[in-house]
Amino acid sequence: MLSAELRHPLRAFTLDLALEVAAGECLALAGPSGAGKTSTLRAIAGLLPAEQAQVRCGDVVWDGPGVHVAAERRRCGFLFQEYALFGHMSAWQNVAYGLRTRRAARRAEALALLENFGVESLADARPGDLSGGERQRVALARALARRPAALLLDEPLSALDAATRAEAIGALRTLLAQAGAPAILVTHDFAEAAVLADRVAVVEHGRVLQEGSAATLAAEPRSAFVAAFTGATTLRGTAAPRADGLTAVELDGGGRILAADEAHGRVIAVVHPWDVTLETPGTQAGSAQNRLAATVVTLTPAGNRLRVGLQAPQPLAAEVTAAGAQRLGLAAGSEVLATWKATATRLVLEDYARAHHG
Amino acid sequence: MTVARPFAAVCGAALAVAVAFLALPVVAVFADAPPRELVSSLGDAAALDALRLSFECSALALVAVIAIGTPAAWLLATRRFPGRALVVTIVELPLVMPPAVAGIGLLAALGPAGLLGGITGRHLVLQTAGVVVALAFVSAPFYLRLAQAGFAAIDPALLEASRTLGAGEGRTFARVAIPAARGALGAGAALAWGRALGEFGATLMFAGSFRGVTQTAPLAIYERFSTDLPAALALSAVLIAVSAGLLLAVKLATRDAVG
Repeated sequence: MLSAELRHPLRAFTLDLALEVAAGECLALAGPSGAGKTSTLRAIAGLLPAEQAQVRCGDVVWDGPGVHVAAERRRCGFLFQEYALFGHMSAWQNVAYGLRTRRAARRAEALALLENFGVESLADARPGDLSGGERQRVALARALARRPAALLLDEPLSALDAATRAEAIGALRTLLAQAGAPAILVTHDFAEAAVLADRVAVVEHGRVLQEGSAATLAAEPRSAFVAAFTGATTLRGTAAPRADGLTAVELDGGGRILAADEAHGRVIAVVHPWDVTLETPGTQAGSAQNRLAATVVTLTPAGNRLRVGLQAPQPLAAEVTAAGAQRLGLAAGSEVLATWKATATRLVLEDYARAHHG
Repeated sequence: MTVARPFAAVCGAALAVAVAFLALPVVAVFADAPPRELVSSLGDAAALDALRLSFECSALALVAVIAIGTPAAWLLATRRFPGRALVVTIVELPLVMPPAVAGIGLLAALGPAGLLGGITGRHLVLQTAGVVVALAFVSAPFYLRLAQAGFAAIDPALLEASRTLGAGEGRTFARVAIPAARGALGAGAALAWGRALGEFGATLMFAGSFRGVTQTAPLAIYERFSTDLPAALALSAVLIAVSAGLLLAVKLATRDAVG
């Protein structure tokens, strides 16, 4: 269990938030750039001495009245935005830097950590010679070297191009699973938060606006800001390629959707509410390949639109105009058909390690 | 491309002028130094003494400058404290100080009648140790300046990453900061060494010019200048060659294996 209560004046506003993350759980701090997310992580890691801080990791108090444990004494794995690998050391030496074992055992131990992320063959390469995705994986292995009691990940995917992201997400999920420690992830991308985290806290101007599962935030945003920010919902399932080049995903709990992305095995499908159209059951129109029977759970105004929370049977969200909602006669409990195009479905591998080693 | 070409031509011309201007005296020394004198100067005991003294003293001064300057520059680069701007100015002052003034200043501070004369007077003035002190004084700012800039240019995330990996400030300094700044440290050391090898005024004022004791190569060259110009030219050529070799060696040694 990691808990943090922070108050610290930043340039434009005061950071003021309280967080709690259970062991093995991943909390995403999601919000626009400059919302205070990175400052929060740095304060928890002990890199930014906050004006008022109560940070506790398990039974150990890291910050409290009269207590400030130095950053190097907090067992806290930190993944930096640009990975911050040491350029003058090889990949394995970067990993070994955090190890406190006998000199002779270090290389073997570092190699084992690199192997978790499928990059043991790059052990002797310098960070400058690695691609962005490879650097990320070396940095993940390094963050695990100290057997961290807490994991802090600062924009772990922002330095990667779109093509590398899907694999990198898998590598991150491997890390989270292996560490078994409470983890806090910072991102400005709600879809990323939805895919990686168990719980999402939307942060703006140093405060948590709303906290909950990604599906809840997307379906029931309590403010226009959260509605605008939560641009994606996620569905879990198992993917298999089809002869026509599309990928079919059997959703957990029932239902099947199609995606234009290629994937095989356990996946997370990312769908944006504004791509989802609602129809009355029985209609058979449009070119949208994905048609899921769903029940309306919530109706939340978001600006000039309505965010419709659905159960299909996994939670899903759609965005419709007020006029559209009226025409369909939407209310909690209404049966509808949620439809969207295969091309509006992004697939992300759920577990990178399993996909590559098993 | 067509837009950039005239500008590139201007830059190229400027570089050509700079290189020609800076290289000409060097070329002239080698062109004018009679080959026979060049060979015989290497057999001249006094000249060899001067060269040896120059390298020993400048090397000692450099070791002291690096040993003290590196942690000092680290502090200046990484901490904000009241009076920091003043400290930086003091550290840079010798850069703009005429060497003769530096020599007088050293005498006034460390000479027999100086501020600390009671402690240092007899050991430094007109002594080899005095040469080392003079060289360290004039060359230290070059190293400090570049080391400070090098440390300040390190991505702070590297230092923070080191901390989160369990390394305290000392270990972070030794294992991350110094290797990351080694290019700047090497350049600073090369500049400081070059400045020390060429030092003339402060050494002359503070330590004098005694053969084998305080007469460094530049002082020996000046002594020959009025009596034996070919010998002065020959010694100059040797000093240039060896200095260039040193400069190159330092640069190669600190060139990033980083890539």
